[in-house]
Amino acid sequence: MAGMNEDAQWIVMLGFIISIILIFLALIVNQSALIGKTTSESVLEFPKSEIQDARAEIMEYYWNGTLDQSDLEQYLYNITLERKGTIIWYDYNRAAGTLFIHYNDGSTEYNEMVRDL
Amino acid sequence: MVNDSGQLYTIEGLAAGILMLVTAYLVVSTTTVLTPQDVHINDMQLEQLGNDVLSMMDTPDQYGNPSSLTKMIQSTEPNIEEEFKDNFLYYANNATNIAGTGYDRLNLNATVTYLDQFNNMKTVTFYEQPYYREKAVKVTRWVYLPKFTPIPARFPGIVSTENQTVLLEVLLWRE
Amino acid sequence: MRVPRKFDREEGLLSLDFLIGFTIFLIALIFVGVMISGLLVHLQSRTIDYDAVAYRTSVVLVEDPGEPLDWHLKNMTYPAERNDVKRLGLGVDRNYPGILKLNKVNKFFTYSSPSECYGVDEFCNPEDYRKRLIFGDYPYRFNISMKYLSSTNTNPPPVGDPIPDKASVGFIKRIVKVQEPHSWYNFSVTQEPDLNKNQIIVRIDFGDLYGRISPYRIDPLYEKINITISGFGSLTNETNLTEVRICTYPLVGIPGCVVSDAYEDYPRVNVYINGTEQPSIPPPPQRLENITVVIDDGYFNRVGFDRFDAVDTILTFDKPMTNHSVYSYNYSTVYPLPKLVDAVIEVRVW
Repeated sequence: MAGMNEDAQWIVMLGFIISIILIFLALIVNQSALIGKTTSESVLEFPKSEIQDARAEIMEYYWNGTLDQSDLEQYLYNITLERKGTIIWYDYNRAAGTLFIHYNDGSTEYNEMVRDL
Repeated sequence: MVNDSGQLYTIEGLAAGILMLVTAYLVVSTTTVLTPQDVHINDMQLEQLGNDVLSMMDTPDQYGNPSSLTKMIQSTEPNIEEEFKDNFLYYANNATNIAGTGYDRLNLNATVTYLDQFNNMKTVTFYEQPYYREKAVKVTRWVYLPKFTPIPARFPGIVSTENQTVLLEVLLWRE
Repeated sequence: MRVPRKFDREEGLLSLDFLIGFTIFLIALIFVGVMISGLLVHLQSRTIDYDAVAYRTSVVLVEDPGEPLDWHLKNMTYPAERNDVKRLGLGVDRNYPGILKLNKVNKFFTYSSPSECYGVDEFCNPEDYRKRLIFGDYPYRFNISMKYLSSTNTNPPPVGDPIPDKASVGFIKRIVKVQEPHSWYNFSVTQEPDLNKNQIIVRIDFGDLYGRISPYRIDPLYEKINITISGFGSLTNETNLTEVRICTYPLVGIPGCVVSDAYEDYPRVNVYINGTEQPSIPPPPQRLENITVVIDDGYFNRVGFDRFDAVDTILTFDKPMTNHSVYSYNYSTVYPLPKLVDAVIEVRVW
């Protein structure tokens, strides 16, 4: 087009680019406010007591000598899945003397192998 | 055909652009971004306290005795729920009184979940108290029940001929 | 039609070097744009999170047995042993969180101010606790207090600084149980003894004692062993103690037998006759009423026993006074058995 004025097209374009960059920065800064994790949230999120409790219950059956004869696996699995949405199961091998414990609550997964039982 | 007119003009524009960019960079790099203040501290303290209390109530004081949680769940006394609540709150409300804080004001609801003799899951209220939407925390504990008789009426269908494990859930809040 | 002029500002034409320069600039710009996320690396919150420190301290105190496991047997008088203690945890065992050992609790709450704590068996308040419990660069002020829920136990004095009035103090409260190991083995001699038994043999089978889980266990390697023998006054023939030895059972290999006064310093074997400590065996002649043998905590470790051994404490007399060949120190003869008492611990950090 003959009369189109092409003056200052670079400045305008660069100004435009910089505005977009600043918008982008503002977006990131804004998002970080939500992503930052406070210590209490981390403590609440990690299921320390649940894992200690499940281990204590399994070991209680072990010390009674009834770990492989009981329905504990069924209780643990069904009740936690229904009430808390977590998976707890274990596998006890009496001959080899090993116990494998698995815990998964969706954000934390815990596996443990106890030997020399 | 291609000449170099307008180059100085363009470079001036570019320099301005770079200046703006560097300024923006410097400004952003010197701010500290504040993550939101910790709103979960109370929840964490309450949940740790609840878990501690349940864990200590589930530990027998002497070797070979059943723990108090086991005894309370297996008991057929009519007011055992009150005793459970009193015992729990005795542990939870106590403080060392070093800062003169004294007794805390916590309250609770408790339910027990178990698999009955037909393998259905049953959840039974163990202790109920009016709860009006306070900020509450739920803590749980597996309770080991050895074979026992007689069967308490509040747990219909519970298996008593074998050792079993039930889940005790306590909803804990500060009044 | 446009009339070409010398400097035609309306032409959008670029020279090659300008294009190249601009391309380089644009590439640099894109680089910066991609690396923006690195700007956020040094984000920090404005306040120090005291509650996090309090929570972590409480976990180390209540759920960790400490490093080394027998730190409560170290003597703070010697700087080398003071430096051996790396972490002050009060737990009885790693697998039983929340159950504390009374000896560790008592040792933890034995402290004095920095001017008086060197050269004595006490922790320095607050430096020792900062290095071994609170951790971190920042010199946190802290206050750790404990109260037994039953009134029969005396509460230890709180350690740290007095609590300030300001509200932002990090705080956590933990409920615990403390294992009380006060077991004694009491028995008396027989009035009509066999004519050829002039030795009292008290057998402690460590493997048997270790058969119970930690919270209810009598731990001979790390706890005091108390044996009291009474009834000498009713014997027809007066008798005198000639020797006290600690021997392995069965009597093979090392360390064999050790006499009771082999060690002068703690931990050692203390023999009391009628309540008075005897510095050497055989003691001066006296009328026997009762004899108490106290084996200090850590003594068996020092001599070289481990948890699979069995040990005989042999008291030799010059005349017969028993008709038991062996007295067994086990869970059915000892009284009282370890029991757990409730307590609450509060940790404040600011």
